[in-house]
Amino acid sequence: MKYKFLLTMVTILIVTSCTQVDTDSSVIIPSSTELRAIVVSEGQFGYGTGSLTTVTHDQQVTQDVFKKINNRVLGDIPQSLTQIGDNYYIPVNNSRKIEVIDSKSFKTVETMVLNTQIIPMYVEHLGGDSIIVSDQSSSAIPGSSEFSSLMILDINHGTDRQIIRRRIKMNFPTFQMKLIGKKLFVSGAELSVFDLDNLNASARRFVKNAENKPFSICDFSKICIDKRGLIWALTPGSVVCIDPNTEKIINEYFVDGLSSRWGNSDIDKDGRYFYFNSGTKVYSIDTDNPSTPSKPIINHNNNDPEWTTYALGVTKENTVMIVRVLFGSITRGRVFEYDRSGNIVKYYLDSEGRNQPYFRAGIFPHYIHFL
Amino acid sequence: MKYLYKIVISLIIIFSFSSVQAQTEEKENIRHYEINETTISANKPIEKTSIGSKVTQMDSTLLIKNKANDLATLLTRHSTINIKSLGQGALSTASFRGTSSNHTQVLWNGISLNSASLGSFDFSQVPVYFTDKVTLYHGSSAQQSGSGALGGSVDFGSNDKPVTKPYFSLLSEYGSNNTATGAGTIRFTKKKLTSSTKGYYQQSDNDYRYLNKVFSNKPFYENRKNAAYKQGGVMQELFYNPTEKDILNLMTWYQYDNKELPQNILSNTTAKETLVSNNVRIIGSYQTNRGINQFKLTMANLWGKMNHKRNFGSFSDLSKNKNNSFVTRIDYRIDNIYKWDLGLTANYRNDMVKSSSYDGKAIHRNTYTARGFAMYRITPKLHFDLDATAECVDKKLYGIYNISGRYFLINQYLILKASNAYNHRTPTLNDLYWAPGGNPNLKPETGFSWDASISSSITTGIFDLYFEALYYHMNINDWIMWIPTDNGYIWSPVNFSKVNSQGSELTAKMTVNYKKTNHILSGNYTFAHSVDNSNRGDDAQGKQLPYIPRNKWNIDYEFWYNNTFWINANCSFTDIRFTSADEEYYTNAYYQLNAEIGCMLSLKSHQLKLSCKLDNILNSYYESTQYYPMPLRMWRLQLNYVF
Repeated sequence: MKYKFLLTMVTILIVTSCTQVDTDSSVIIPSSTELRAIVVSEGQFGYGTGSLTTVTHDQQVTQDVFKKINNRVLGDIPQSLTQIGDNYYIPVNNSRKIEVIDSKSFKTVETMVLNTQIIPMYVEHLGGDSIIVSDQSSSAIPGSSEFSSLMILDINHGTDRQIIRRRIKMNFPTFQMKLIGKKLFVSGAELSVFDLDNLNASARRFVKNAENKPFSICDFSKICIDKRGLIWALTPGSVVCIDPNTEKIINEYFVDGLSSRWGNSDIDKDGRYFYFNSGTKVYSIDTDNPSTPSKPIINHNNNDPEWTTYALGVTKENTVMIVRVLFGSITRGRVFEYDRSGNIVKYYLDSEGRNQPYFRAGIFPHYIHFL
Repeated sequence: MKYLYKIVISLIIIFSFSSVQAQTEEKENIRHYEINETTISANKPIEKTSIGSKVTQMDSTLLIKNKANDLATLLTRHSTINIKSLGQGALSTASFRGTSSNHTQVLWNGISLNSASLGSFDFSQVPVYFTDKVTLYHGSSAQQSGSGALGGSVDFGSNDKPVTKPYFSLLSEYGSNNTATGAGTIRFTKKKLTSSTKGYYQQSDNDYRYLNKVFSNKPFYENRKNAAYKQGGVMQELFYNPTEKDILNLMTWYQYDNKELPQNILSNTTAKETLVSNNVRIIGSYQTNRGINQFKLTMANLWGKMNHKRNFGSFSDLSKNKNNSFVTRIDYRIDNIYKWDLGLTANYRNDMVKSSSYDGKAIHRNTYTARGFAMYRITPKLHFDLDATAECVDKKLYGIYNISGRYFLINQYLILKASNAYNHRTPTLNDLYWAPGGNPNLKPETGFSWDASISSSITTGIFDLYFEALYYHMNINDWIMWIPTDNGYIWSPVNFSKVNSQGSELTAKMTVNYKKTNHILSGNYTFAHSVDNSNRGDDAQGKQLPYIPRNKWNIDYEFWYNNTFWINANCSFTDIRFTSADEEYYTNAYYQLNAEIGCMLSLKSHQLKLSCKLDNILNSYYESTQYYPMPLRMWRLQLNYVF
């Protein structure tokens, strides 16, 4: 009798010990015409909770799209998303890889494993089959050949190839990049400039300020182009307007309280209004008639400083999406959408059927891609 | 041939060991041997208190079976407490009743080993070989261990009554992943002096193979990287018994750990992280027993040095930490004075930590403690006790208490217990002084807890049964958590969380001794509902805390034949654990099934024990911490000689 009991117990254990599979094959990805934005969330460092959230024009939100489609997690700290052709390129910071997914199906095209100590942050298409990737790592490792660098990668997916074509030594962290004509602007501890036909460390130049010194751009500030072709970007103390031809600052606007390297910025699709944040406050500069903003256009939850602005993006409808997260709380971030008057413009139904002035994305949402 | 070579090497290591420590080891396997030994009879130990709270003494046979394991493995498989591990030999922390690892006090022979800088303790640094007893104080019962143990405490060390019979033992084990263990004990008595010396060494390549299904679009097999470790130690105990009423005791423990720290399998780094630590712990005590009066003086010195080298890509640094603690403690107890037992304790502790994280400065913490205890037997069946402590930490005064009672409903067969306690945990030195980010204005965490239990112990002929069911409830305020500050580059600790934890614990053990066979079936089950009640307006409100499983159980069956042959099977289950505070992300539940088969050969006073162990029989992939894979099926062969 006892042997039957033991046998039964063992059988039950074997059957029930099968690994749980967290897949959802029923997820339907909206078409590109229905999709309005994709939110890239970093997740908590070391926890692998990075994710993609999609939102449609009719306010349907789908969480963890990558995981649901590909039956695996996106990785540790996905940083940004760039569309090149039919694919999205997603650098995954602490996983030292770039996930390439099909922009319609979200299925993996290739996992570009870099096998170096660089920390991929942003991607810019150089044309043809080359992309360039920025690197958050700060300096060379003593005694090793590793160094902070920009990397030029081969994107002939599915072929047996050397993924890293070459590296450009930088010696400091680099972040957002922008190709303007034949020049590549790279933000970081210094705003670097390269000629596209001479992408070498020795040919690197720096944009200089009024004191003729290089200056840094906020880590997550986009390099924005206004309708006159001028560059707008955020520094830890000011907003700068730069002529890409002369590679010099035209104007600099100093805003009270602007001191963090964590500022975000974006510009509307018409290239007129430049938006940036300082903590919980969002400011705007009219590039047609620029001046230092005297007050924020949005000051959400001013009395609750624990909630901070973690990302910012301007939609195709010229409204502003703001990601807010609660420090110390490992929960989904909230994405609010405002017009220029500081009014909420979209409401979303939450899982309990309540109308909320935000939708939830992943943990630490940090980049919004608009379609 | 290769394995034979390893076994020989292990044996050489064993023989080369000789050092220090005293352990009151019963001659191997106290249940199955006739032990004809002499114990030092002079003194009764200072008894523990909290009669109405739950205290679990780990079965000594479990300690013997797990001699080549670390304490984390033992507790994972055989207790209700929750162990969070980064892998075999890697950092392992313990938590009770839905609290955090910082709320667990770890004591060696009654002296706290918790790091003054971190607050928590790494259980992988304690070989079970160095323990004769492991006692778990759950919830309010941990108050007697001092402040900080909001969840509970784990006290390991030597038996209260030292064994004086000469003893010699050698243990050698070799297993998967090139894991080799060697250990030895020698004990002798000369007149009134007893010496016990133990040595232990284990090393492992720890490069187990598993299928990585999460990193890229193509699943691939890989071996665990940068997870090798070496650990060793020596322990010396000296007991001097000048009269039958007095005993002097000196215990010394040196422990060395050299570990590579593996990264999660999503982090594609080729860089290495290593942790090398050296610890010397010394406890000296004098205890005397005069009639109903007991007095004990204890002095301890805990010295440690830890170098943490990190080489992440472009970021490389070496963090150096030194700690040195002195403890002086006086216990006085008087028993059976009318219907009362009374006790007083005075304790002084000085902790010094010098760390590169404190700008290289040495930080001191002085803690003065005065504690009073009283137990009153109202009737032979109804007892109460009160334990109150005043503690002064860095010139700030705090008070904690525990009140508990028990009622013998049907003699020893059915006992009701209940307790209530208030405790606090002072911020760690890292919380206060870490540069940058330390917050000197932090308040201590405070907690109220209640529990009630019913237990039954029945013995009839060949049959023994023990059962206990318990419910607990706990509120913790001002939970300390590190968060990024405004500019995002500096993390700083703040008080803000309120945590409510409630649940139940079931423990059962059944023993049947029939003719030449012995059957032992035991199990533990715990349910923990531990939720965030901070009400900060986020989605964590009312949700289970990360890495606290709601359900956890383990079951163990052991069969003996003629005291020479045994089979043991152990199964443990850990429920899903949420990895985000809003219950949106989680890591999978897992079972682990382990087995052991062994036999024992005896010739006069010589005994030879041979056993084969198989861990994770189902070869299932599982993670204690998400994306840190644990070993798949592992085998181990153990040879143990006792004289």
